[in-house]
Amino acid sequence: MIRLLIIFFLFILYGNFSSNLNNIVLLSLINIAFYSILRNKNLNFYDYFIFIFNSFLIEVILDMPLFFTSVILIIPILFMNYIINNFSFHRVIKVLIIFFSSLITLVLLNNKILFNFNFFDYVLLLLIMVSIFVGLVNYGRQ
Amino acid sequence: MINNKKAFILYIICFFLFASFFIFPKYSNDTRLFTFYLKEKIEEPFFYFGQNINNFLDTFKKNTDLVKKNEQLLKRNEFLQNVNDYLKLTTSKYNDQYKVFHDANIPIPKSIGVRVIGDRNLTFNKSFIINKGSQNDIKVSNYVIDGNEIIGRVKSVYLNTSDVVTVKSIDYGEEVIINGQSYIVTGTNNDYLSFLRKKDSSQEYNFSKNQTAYVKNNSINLILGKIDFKNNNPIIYTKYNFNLDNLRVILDD
Repeated sequence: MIRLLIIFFLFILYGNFSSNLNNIVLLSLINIAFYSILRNKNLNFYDYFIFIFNSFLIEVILDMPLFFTSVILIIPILFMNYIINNFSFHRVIKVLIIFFSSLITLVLLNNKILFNFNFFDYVLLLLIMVSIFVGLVNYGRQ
Repeated sequence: MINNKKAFILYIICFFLFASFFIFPKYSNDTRLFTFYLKEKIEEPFFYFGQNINNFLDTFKKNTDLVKKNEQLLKRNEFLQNVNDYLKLTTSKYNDQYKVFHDANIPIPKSIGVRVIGDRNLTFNKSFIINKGSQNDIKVSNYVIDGNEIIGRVKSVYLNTSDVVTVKSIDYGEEVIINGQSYIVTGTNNDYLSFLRKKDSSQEYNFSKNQTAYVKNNSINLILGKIDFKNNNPIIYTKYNFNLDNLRVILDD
């Protein structure tokens, strides 16, 4: 429910800020998508539903083919889930994996983003990492 | 286990939806435009409160800040008046001739003001969504302008929203007039348009820097950009940053 609310507000917020802040909003959406799939070894219905809803909104924002992520791109992410959750990684490493995979996804969408980051952005990115960590501590692998 | 079965059924549903949208892109476009329509409707109360808060905070502003803001508004007003004068001049040029043949004045093109929904920075793609659609008589290929400069053209239309492809996009193509001759140009996803081919192959490029390339739309000429050269090849430079605050769509008569 918390994730659904966050996705809803991030979608409304997107487009109303400067370019850098919009990128961070988008990065947060991508982060939630990765978190939903990678947090647990077994993919359950609710997580998959959130992933579909989240990726649908990202595709709408970026004018990508609809449901492409939920059907095609989920396969490599599930492989990633298999690798991550079958090794006993520490939570911090898991957080870093989720964070950097979403960051790489964002950069792949537009590599010009790399040259436009400033210090204020980095502070907000740390907040995203902390929120992933808190999420994993409370709702991670059971 | 039951949960996994549900997830698999959801995957199958998504697969068929993906296939349908892939085969019928129109439905994909309509879904996207409808989602943006919903986004705009949900945003409305937030905008209302935001505006009220801003107005309230304006009362605490210093006099110097208000004077500065007033100066900016005056400058903007002056710019718009200049654009208006230009448009009057271009139409009046042919008005007398038109009157002789048609026994009426040149019809002034109808236009409608629009607002951008979603990303206005054009970071990920060179297109944007506007808050007017077929219910406001907007049709595919209508021009979107700021003053008398072309920003883009309408690519797809839904009831209350439309998708606009900007002149910077690689999907944009146009017939422009330079020195009274027609040329075909295309967007490049950069800040310039390149010449695709000459409309008449016997023509030769004979441009000089900073010449204006314009597009004829019924009775008025809309400015597309200025001529420049890149590696000795002529290109048309557009603005680096578009001002998407005062956009208008020119409607068909």
